[in-house]
Amino acid sequence: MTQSRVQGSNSVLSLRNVSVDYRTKVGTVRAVADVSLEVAPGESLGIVGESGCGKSTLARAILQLPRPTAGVIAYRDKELTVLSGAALRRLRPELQLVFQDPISSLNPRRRVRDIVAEPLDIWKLGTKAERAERVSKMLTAVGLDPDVYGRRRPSQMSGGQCQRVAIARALISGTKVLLCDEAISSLDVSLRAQVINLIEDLKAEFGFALIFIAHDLGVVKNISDRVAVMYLGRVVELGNTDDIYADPAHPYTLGLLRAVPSIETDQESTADVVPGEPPSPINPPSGCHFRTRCPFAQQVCADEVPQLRPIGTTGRTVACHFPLTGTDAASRAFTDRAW
Amino acid sequence: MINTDSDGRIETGINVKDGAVNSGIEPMLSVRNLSTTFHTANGSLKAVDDVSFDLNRNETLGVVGESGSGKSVMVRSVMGLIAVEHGVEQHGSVLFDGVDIAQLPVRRLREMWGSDIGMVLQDPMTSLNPVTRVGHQIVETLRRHTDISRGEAKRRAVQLLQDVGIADPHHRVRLHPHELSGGMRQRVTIAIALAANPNLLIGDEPTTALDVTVQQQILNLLSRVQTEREMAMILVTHDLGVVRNHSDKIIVMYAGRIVEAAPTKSLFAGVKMPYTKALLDSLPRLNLPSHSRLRAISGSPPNLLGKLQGCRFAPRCPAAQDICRNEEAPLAATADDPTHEYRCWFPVGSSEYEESLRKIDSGNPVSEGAR
Repeated sequence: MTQSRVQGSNSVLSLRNVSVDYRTKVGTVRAVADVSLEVAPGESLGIVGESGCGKSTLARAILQLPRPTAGVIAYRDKELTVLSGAALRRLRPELQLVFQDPISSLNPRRRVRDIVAEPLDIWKLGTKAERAERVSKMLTAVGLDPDVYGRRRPSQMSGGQCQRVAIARALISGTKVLLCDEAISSLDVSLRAQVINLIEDLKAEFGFALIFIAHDLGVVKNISDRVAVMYLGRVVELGNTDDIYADPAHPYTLGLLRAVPSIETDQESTADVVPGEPPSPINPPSGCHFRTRCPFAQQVCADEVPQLRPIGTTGRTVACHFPLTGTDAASRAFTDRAW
Repeated sequence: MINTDSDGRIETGINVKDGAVNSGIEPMLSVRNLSTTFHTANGSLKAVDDVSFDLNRNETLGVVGESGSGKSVMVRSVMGLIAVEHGVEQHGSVLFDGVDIAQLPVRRLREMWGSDIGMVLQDPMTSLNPVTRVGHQIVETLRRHTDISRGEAKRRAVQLLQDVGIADPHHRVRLHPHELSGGMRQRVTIAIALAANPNLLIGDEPTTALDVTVQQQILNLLSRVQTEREMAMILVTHDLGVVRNHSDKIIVMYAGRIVEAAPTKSLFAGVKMPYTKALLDSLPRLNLPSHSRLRAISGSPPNLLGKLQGCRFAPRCPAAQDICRNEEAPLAATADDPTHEYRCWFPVGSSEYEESLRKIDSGNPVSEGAR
């Protein structure tokens, strides 16, 4: 068996210089560029960024779907990037993904109970009666009455209900690393809170590590120990959740925070916080990818790619030539005006 | 000619009693006792139950509720999009510029859809035609509803794309939907909705599928075009945060019923209905530390096929008493704020409500929903 041991790491998941390229007719797209991350057992890491920033590609690369173009991904002491298909398959019950689009991730011909029970059937967990019991419990836990919805098919349910089924399916096999790719983005706010609480409860009970991907910083706040902010394939800021929210260092992080619809304050201006949309990853801007939308961009931002550098004392890193943290009051006022 | 000043518009219209409007202005849209019932194989389901509201020109109404609250069926019933046949029953009146469109034949309605009433849906990938250039889709709408020439329509299409903030519109009219980003596509559907200069624009979860940054851009765009074109707008959403800064008044729906209706400012100044409070509480707050417990609403909305007795929110309400389970409160306002109506016996702020919350907090520190 070809599996190399990764030494000297207590992470459950470890990514070193991971890059994912997609070859297209019009050129190579570097969807994920040189990303290094560590996830400790039981830790939850939020990954945030706009559509096209590579967060979903990164999640799939962790599961080797497809394998990354470069870099090393290790789960516990096993290097996933070199594992054979069969060995990888044996690990799959421990690494589970909740997909973004529930409609296409559920088999339209099968009934809800069978969809949720399938992982148990495949890995032959428990007796038939136990499986039925677990399916009922899991359906109830995700907010679906098993008596009402158990015999329905995905087409007979709303998108939100389908996503609850997908979450139930991913949680039922006793996962060690759960990847949620925009798993709650299509749910109602009231249900999001339920599911976030649910995932927190299950995490406390079973101690799995969580990678929680979302485009909304408000959503990941409650569920993450640490947050990685991605922009056009690169991690631009990585640190403890509370630090990042209290005092964002990267202008993009600040913009994402300000874009969250606030129910607490009246919005003063109707200016778009982060103007425009991310540029094409086929032909990204030189230097800092964010410079085309950044109000603080200087010449150096076009000339030089900013590297992830430590900032502050809490282990935070930021890739910006002019990080916002620690700036004096005058430049902070400038910050507020510029946005 | 309808003439509203910016202050007056908030004052009018929320009073929904028997068609009485408390200003001299006729509202553009006046919905009275609208009910929509689906007769299914498993029984009858009243998806919209006795909904009344007024909406003036220049005004934005936010309609908020969970999945299945009836908010989408309600706006579709208002438009007459839910065909009154095949087991669908609709009651009530929908006065649009004085005409009861609930009584109009589909042929007449079809002339109104797209011209008098524009609609923006949640998913631009399914509401746009994937095999037609976006410019052609705008031209199609323009030619359907106006008498302009093809060349003039093409020119207007470019102008419309520019109006909705699409850079390089001369190039982009020639693209297909799949060549545009999600935000761009939603801008195109807005351009199509605006093509025939509607008086009423309805957005059914128009930003739910979008990134937060783009969501903010689209909401700003909708508010801007609404002001510029002096339209009335209805924004349907499940997220109170979305309508916080983008509506003049808000209707909160639960299980087909209006449970709270108020000008946006009054609503956020003092939520009355425990359900609205619960919706607000379930939103993550950026100013709370991570891993703060969210106050999720326990349970799920009632099955409308079943027997409904008392307040429909009572089974999930922290302050529910016996009267709530037996008798539904009327939708009524208090004396101090006649524009703020709610359907509750023990509203937020009442001693009974606060007492119930204290009991819950002392007995069970974690208000728990999901289990």
